[in-house]
Amino acid sequence: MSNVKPNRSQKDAEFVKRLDALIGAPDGRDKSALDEDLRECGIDPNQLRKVAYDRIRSIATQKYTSLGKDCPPQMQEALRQLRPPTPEEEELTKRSQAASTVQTLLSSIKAGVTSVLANPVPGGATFAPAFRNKQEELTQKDRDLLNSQQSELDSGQDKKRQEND
Amino acid sequence: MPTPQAPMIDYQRLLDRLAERACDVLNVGRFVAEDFVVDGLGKSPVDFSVDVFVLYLTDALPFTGDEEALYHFLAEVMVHDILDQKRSSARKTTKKVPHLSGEVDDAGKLQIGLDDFDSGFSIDQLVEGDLFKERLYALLKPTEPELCELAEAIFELNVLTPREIADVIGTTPSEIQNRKKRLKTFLGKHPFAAPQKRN
Repeated sequence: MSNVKPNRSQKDAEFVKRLDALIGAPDGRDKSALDEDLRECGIDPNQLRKVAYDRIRSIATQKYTSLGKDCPPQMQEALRQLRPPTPEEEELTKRSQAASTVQTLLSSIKAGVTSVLANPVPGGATFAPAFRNKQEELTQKDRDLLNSQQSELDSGQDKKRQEND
Repeated sequence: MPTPQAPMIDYQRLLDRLAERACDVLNVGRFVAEDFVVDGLGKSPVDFSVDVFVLYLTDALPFTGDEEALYHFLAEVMVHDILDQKRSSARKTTKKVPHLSGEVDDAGKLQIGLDDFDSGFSIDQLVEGDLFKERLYALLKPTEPELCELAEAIFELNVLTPREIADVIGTTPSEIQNRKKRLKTFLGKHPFAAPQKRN
């Protein structure tokens, strides 16, 4: 067995491995999951991109463009990808999102209407049990009231029948 | 002809992952004893991630490879940068000490001098020692036994991959990923409360 103590970088590497094992995120998450995880860490992804873009742009101007040099290709590509949308582009995106929302709403209404027309209730309409038959939820006073109204209706119908006869 | 790897790299995604990684490392430091922003340097996870990103973009860190390999390369550089900066004298010298009374003993020596104060938490206590492990166990055991089980498997049995950990605990790798995510949230919600003092 070796008695050689690990140096600082080996200890750091060991620490990082354990950190990965404890809380390292899985590879291959989609953009929305990654953004959500970042927000949980307290970082706004849009703000992060803006900070990075401003910094890279400033370096591109100072170190390359102002000296008449070309930016490295990876820097050009990063600037292209991280560039925040212009107000016109934002407006366009909002319009497109609004149109898409309306379209979805219309589609769901259409689908709802179609399903109601296409699938009538088999055997005709069914009715809920009558309120007045729910004995256990009615007080004696309610029952008396319902009975009196019922007898009034019945007597009214009887009178009509007698008149017709 | 464009550089072969340039169009294949999603820089937004790369930057997001680097920032998340910086958060993980700084969160652990904060969980044990420190602030989220490194004292004396004022650097946050965003600063660390953008710094390493810029080093790559300006060819100061040359690398050719796909996005995944590039991420791991830059993440490693960044984590070492964070740890090194936490060890830096700039961080140590910004620790505040109370006003010195200037009282002297019979021999004329200051009763309390600058050397009598704890120089503060050292990142080496986190990297080399058991400080993180002890604090993690103490907080997880009473409230989060499943997360404690995960931590114990990693620290005590030195198993590191989700599959290995799952085999040891007797569950599935996807359940291990769930627990890791829960632990990450737990760490973020339990910053420095009562660190154990080490001399």
